[in-house]
Amino acid sequence: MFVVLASSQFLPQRGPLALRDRTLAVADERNRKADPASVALDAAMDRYARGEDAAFAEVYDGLAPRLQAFLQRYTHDRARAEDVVQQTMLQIHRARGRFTPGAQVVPWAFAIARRLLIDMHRRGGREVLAPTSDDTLTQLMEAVDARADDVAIAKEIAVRLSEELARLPENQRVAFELIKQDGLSVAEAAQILGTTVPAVKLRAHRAYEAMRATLAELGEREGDNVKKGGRT
Amino acid sequence: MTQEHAREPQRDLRARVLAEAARTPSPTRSEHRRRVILLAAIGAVATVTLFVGLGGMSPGTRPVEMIAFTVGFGLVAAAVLTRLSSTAPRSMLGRPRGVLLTAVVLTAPVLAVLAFCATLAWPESAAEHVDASTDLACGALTVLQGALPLIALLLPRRGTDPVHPAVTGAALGMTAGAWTVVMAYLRCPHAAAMHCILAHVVPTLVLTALGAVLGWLLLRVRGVRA
Repeated sequence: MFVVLASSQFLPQRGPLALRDRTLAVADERNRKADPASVALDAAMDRYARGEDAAFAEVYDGLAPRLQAFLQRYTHDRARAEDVVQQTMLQIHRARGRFTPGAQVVPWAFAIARRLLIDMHRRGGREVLAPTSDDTLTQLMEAVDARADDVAIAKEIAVRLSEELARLPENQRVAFELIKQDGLSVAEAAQILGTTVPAVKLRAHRAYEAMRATLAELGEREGDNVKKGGRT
Repeated sequence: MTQEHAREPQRDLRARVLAEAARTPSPTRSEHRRRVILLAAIGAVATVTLFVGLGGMSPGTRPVEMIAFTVGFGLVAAAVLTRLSSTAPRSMLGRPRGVLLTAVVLTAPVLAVLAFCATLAWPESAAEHVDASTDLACGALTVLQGALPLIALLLPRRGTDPVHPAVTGAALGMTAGAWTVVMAYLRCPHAAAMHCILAHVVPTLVLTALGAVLGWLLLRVRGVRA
């Protein structure tokens, strides 16, 4: 996420004006209504619920990579993330008879994974349930073939945004991450969090505003630096 | 290894999960539906048997219109709550927490207002004095009668709520309570407002609390060890 913000938006056009009117692209349900991958996944789950055992492989292939990415961001541990992916998939297998026709499998799977992750955290107490930006920073270093000062600025933005995200109340942070980082729709995030669509929109909006304020602050500071550099 | 590959599950995990799923068959939708219907039927039969065993319908001095009024509105409340707590259209995760909590919080006051309205409409039937021991015995009976539908509502949903199991349990507890209020209005000959509130409505709160605890214990998703 921060790579996108930093490399493709901030770096090419530095300065306060470039940041001021920038809007974070909100991935809302309108963009995903006809997502063929989700529709195919829901159809596969429906076939599995009806008794077509072979459809479970399709469900696994559609869900497991997304769940793994979601879980690894929180556990920072591939083995633990895989353990929860396995448990989540077996939960889905065990409860296939309950799958309601027309329901979506992705929010269900994410909600199960999130619950298992929270339980694992409560039991073990060793895992840090906070996302990290280390890997995105690494990606950034690889992706941005830019001057050293550009990279330094991008890193600072990533670090500041990570700090800002960590400071947000949990409900705002989770809503933001589900929509922005996991690519879920607002409706799907609302189902996972057990709340209403307007509530998730509000939480995500507050998170966006906080992030935007941080970006604006950084932009103004950068603008000041540019002015000072111009004068000297 | 690239970032993308590092975040994909390993191939052997896929093989393990598919093998475990093949090794431990799970009920299909039609099999699950049959189990739910069977459990609901057992719950209903047990509840009715208990109701009949405890004396069945007892109108006392209450007019038929009063019984029809209280039972009718109680049935509406129970039906609405059953729909809210047991079904969620096109979702595997139930209704939002706010909707369930609102239903839970509003039901008991609505039932209490209903009891008051009945006493206002039929004051001659409601003027009787009911002693505390009768309130207590009737209240205990209401809780006992509500426990059966509560179990019947909870059991088919064991280990299936990853979002808010305690809230779902509380909603199911209030649903069982609302059905029990209907039975209480059928079996209890007393019509005094205070008796109806203490012995018929307050037990729904006990069942709600019981539902919340059982919901947390039974409904929440737990890890499955392969």
